Amino acid sequence: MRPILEARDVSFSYPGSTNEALRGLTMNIPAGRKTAICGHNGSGKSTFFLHAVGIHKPASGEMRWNGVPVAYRSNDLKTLRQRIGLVFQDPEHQLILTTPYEDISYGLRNAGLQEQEIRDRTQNMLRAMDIAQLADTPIHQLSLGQKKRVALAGVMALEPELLLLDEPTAYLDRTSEQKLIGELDRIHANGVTVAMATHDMNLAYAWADWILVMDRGQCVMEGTPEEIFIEKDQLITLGMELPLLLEIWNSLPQVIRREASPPRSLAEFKAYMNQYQPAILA
Amino acid sequence: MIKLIDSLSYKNRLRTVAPMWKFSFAAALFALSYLSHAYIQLVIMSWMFVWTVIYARIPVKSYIVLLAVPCLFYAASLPAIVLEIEPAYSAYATSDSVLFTASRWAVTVSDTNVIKAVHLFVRVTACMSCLMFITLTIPVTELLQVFKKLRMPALVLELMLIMYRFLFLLMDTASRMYAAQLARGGHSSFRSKLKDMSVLIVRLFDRTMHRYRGVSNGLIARGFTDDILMPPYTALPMPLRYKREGYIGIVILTVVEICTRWRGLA
Repeated sequence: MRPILEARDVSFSYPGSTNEALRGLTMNIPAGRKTAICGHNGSGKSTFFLHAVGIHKPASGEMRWNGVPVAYRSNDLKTLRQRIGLVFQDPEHQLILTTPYEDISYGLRNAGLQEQEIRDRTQNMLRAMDIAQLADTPIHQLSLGQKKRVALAGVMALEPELLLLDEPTAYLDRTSEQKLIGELDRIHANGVTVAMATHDMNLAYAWADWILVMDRGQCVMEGTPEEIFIEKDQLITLGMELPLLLEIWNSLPQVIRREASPPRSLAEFKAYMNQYQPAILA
Repeated sequence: MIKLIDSLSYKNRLRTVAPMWKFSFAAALFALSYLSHAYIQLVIMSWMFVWTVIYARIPVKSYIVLLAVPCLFYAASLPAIVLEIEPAYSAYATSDSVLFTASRWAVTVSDTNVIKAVHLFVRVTACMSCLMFITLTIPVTELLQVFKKLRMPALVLELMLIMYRFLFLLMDTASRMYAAQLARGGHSSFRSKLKDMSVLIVRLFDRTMHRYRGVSNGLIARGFTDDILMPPYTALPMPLRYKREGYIGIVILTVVEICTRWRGLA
């Protein structure tokens, strides 16, 4: 499993703060997967993301992109930021121009593309993200879910190889959340590595195929969802809980569970349970 | 108010008309109303009213309110223009009408001053209605593009852009904090109103600084280099009907004005 982005023994603390935000963090984001970085507030997820795009520079240790240490010259950073797309938790932080159309074209213009190509790519992005009808609405008139989609579109327009999302579903209603997740799956299917920071364990369990758990500036667990969620006690000492679906599954009697692997979604669970329907009726 | 202007400017019927043309049209009329006689200014005023209210379908009520608010400044300076204070004996000697006298001083109104005030009012409203046409029919986004095309310095444009984006954020934050204060029993008396307002302002500053960090990170992450690159001006089609009316109107007004001046000289 090739890591696309690595942190090697990275330490960092914010100016004026005595606590270290990252304490010798060593963590890999595997290429081509859907990674969820879990951890409660203040565990260093956002700080790690800011390191990924070179906004913060490690006090010690190094960040590696595709196996090569990140260089902090401004030209290198510019190309790095085109390859790594970062979507902030608060879309207001990264929506800069006044309408979705203009804002999506912003990153493309920074990348120095020709106006014609900027126009085409922006139009395609608007269509792909299903926000074409909002293209000329002022951003402050959009809902939070729409703003998040615009922010995502602005980042995806640059066609990054790695997409990082900081708490993408925070404050979203269920419908907007599902729409966003569908979008991320589509992006992943196009060959982009996607990693999101979240403390929603239900989401991490249902969506991710690789999970990293962070605690106080370190990566304490990594593995597939099955490997992670078997360690129930460790998760609980870290202040996290098991996904609801998995808890329900675990509470079913062994006769029903048998040797089947736990379902990842409600649909899977229902499908599995349906096979017992005739037996119970009979 | 800002929200009202903003939503009107995005929804008006002239939205699809070339912004550059609208801008130059209003600018030409603005210049003309600066130089012309009062009756030409009245014509300009009513013509702009037709454009803004009938062609662009801006509701009359909001149009009048928006026009009236800047007129408050005019109203505030009205006493200084119209009223004069002079010694009582000279006031009765001239033909000025005396409003009242206090000990030896009299407050008077002279005809020339009233006429001056009326002229000023007509000129102010004529210029205002031209500006109102620009603010109500050209969304800020397009206005910035027009300014860019007119070679306004990039720094000024960036400042305008950032102010425009963050004004709404600031307003949102402020109104949310205000609501929170209300919900927790603030603003109950005049005294607590003042106190809560001061707290709100201080906290607002604090939040803004926080937000500033986030936004500057956001800018960097999206490849910000030294300046904010704005989309270039996109030309929109210009309906011939409006174009014709605009040009013919301006020519007629200018010719009439020139004729009046020429006759005045002769």
